[in-house]
Amino acid sequence: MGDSNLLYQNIHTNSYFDSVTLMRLSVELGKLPGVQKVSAMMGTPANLTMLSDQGLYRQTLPEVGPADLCVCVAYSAEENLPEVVLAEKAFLEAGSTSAPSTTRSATATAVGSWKEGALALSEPRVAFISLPGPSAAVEAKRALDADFDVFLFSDNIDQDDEVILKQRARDAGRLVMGPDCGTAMIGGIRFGFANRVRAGSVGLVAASGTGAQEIASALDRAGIGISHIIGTGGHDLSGAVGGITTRQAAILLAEDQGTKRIVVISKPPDPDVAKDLTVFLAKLGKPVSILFLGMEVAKASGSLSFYRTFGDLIAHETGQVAEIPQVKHHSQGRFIRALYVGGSFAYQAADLLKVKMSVEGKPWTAMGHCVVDFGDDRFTQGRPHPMIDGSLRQQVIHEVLVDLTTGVLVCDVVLGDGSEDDPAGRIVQAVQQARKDRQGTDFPAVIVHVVGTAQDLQGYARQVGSLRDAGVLVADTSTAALESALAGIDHA
Amino acid sequence: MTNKTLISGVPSVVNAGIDIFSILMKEAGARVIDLPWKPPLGGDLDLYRRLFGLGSAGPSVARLEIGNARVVKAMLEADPVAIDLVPAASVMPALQNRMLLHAGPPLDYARMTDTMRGAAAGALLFEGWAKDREEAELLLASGSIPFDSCHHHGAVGPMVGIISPSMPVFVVKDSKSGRCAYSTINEGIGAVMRFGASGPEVIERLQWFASSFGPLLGAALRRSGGLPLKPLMAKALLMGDEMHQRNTAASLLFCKELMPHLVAVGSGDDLERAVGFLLETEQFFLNLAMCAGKIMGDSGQLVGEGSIVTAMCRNGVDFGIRVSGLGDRWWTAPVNTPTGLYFAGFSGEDASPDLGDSAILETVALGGMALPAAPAVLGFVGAGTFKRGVELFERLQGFTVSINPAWTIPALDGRAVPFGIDIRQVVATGIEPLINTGIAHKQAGRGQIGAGTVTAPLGCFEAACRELGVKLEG
Repeated sequence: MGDSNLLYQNIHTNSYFDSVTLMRLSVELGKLPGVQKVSAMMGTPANLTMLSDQGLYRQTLPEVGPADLCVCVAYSAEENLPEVVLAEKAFLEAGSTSAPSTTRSATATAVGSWKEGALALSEPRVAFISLPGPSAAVEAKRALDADFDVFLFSDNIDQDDEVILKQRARDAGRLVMGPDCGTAMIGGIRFGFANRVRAGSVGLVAASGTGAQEIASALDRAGIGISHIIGTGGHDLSGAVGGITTRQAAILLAEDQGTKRIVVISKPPDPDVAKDLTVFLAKLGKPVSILFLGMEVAKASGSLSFYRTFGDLIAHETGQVAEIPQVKHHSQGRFIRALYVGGSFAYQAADLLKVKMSVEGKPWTAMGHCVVDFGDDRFTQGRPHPMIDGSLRQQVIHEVLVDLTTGVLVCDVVLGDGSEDDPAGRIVQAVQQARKDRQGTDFPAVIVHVVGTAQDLQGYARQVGSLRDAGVLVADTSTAALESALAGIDHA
Repeated sequence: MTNKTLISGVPSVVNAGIDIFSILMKEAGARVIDLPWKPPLGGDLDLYRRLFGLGSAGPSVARLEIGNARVVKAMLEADPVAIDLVPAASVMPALQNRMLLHAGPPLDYARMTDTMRGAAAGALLFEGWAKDREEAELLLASGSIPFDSCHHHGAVGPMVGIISPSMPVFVVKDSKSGRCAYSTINEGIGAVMRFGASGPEVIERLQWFASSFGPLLGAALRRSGGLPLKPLMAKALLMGDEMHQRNTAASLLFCKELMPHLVAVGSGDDLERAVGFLLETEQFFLNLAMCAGKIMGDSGQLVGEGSIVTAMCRNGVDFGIRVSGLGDRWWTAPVNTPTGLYFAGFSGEDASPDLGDSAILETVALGGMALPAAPAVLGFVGAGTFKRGVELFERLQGFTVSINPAWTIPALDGRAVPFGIDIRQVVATGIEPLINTGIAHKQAGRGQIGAGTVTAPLGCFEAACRELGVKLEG
């Protein structure tokens, strides 16, 4: 023959492919660099003769038969060969199962498995899991195996499970948001409890759902938009988990063209994890504002700046410092009772009021300041979350307001998707009833902060208006509300 | 490794759990699909977690999943070739004594359904072990004829699947390992032993198989040097067969391959009757497809690890599965009864409970697992539309782990059939594998009454998973 071409010849015994598929394979391989001629044919005598005549086939032992597939490629240089081999393997093994089923994807409303869901939906696709904890962990793993990212709303998932899930996710290039992740916003799609915020270029990585809600809402009210909110779950920065999701999320936002600034919020991480994370975030190439709630603030350096409270972070991001409402009238009571539906606000309050967060009993009856998180397990056994149904906290608010030892009541009012229709109304009703019941004795100061935006269905302005009409002080941030409470008590 | 896709576009969602948020998301215009969920395995959370590698089972499950890949690879690399046709006893040593093989997991005569007993009696007449029906039944009832599963002797049998020593069987050989699988010649439709008939025409046909047709086919196959079955099955899938209920194209392709050799070795009346029978028996290839399935399944079984189903079979009483990493034990549960469309004059009340080794086809991704390949038989399945067939096809992929790139479905743009049934995923999803099947009359001798579908009972997979759970603990 005398060809100077190099020849790649791969015989697949007893492997039938129809002629259209084989022509497509030839076209695919023909596009690769250095490929001069390709032919993929079944090994019938006529085909083998044709292949030989073209200089593409050299007789082999054992002999090739009509049920055997011959892939023959003439190429120019040795370095072209590996790509040819890989492409051939990929094509023959592909079976086109990665594309979503076009007959169903537009219409399927329910599926029987994660795998079936992956057939119906192209990427990006997220498994939203809110099943009971220990089962939710298995489903999260199976969803990861079926090529989903996971929004793990469920709580009650132990740390060992979380580590297994997040390591599995990391190995597969997937993300686990959670466990106990209440809030996310990805590509404009809101997950869980979330406010309707304008689109923009600030990206949030949040271990706290309500914390993310406060920041995103405050930024929106100041005209600043959000690119994505990626939840990490409350324990991501523990020593055992090591910040797997936080890092992945930070990288995503760093590589996202639409994100110009990154905000990371969490309770204080494990010290070693915090150290590594800080080094890591500094290399991202975008400014990062870091809120480790209640932790001593490190000095700003390079692209990183650190904050201890929501108020401080929001002030930095918006360039506006929130006003601290002045308490003009308060009761003889000496104690601040801070009753929250958002756990992070409770955490911040415990830090600023220098009290321990209560874990049992009815701390609002004890003598002293108290901080209560009504989202805690002990209040939600067999009951909906207080953001969905605020009736329990409303009762306690009333109890606190008729208690003569109460000086100031501090609350959060969280609007947005998932929250009930009129969260402010709960406070207003309790205040009005308590005023009647106290029959003219002085009344505690009531200070709230409202997490919400104009776009939220509850309407930020409407909710603030109804609170002020009832004589409630409304602060712009959770921190300002606490500072107002402290100042109010001091001036007694 | 970073995730490059989560924020690359607008995500779609599959929701498992409460619906408050999914309702909101749908209202906001997001694409949300619901995944209804209930606790699997009767609520045994501990087992469920272990099967998927939570708790301390992580490393064992990681090994299991590597094992699964090896099992699937072995099944896909098997290369069944039909090489010969010989008397059963000449390749299955146990049949050198008086005994009968039957379809499904092992059971003795006392538990057999009427349909299978009728066929067994017919086999005694064919072999000359009894001179009439009465004597045959007495002999069988006395327990002096031992029975065993076809599967235990390298064989597979459709419907009642009775194999006796003198019956000619196909020899299908795996060119990779040299192992063989065997099956009888398909008798066609009407009064046939596999549906429990045992009258004179059944016996006569079997005698013709043994004395003339079988030897002729055997000679033709030997002359051909062997027919590779996988490429033939690939072509048949492209032509509208799913190889269980429908083998029309496959049978024609088989004839096409064999014909030159048949006319070379045969002549006269023998040849004429042989060709006539071949061309009129549309399900002829079924038995060969089953052998190919058994070769593939056994290749997986021999790897000896993992959680992949390597055989499914029924005997009218029990449904049995084998699992790659759980040894040769059958995991059984009571069979379901098929439903579907019935020939005139028959209804579901007449149906025999599920029968046959032919579920080996669904084990290797054919039959009920490849519905959209055969639009012509979709009428037997539920609403009977192609759309419904695709829905079922995708539903059933909830428990498969891989694909067979050699077998593709043209109506789905060349999508490959999903391959490798993982028992863990069957119990996790609660979805039972769907089997396309003929429906026999529950009384012996009445024959086939229709065709339809039946599912493999979840109980088999749950039992196997409990055993797997124990192994994963160690």
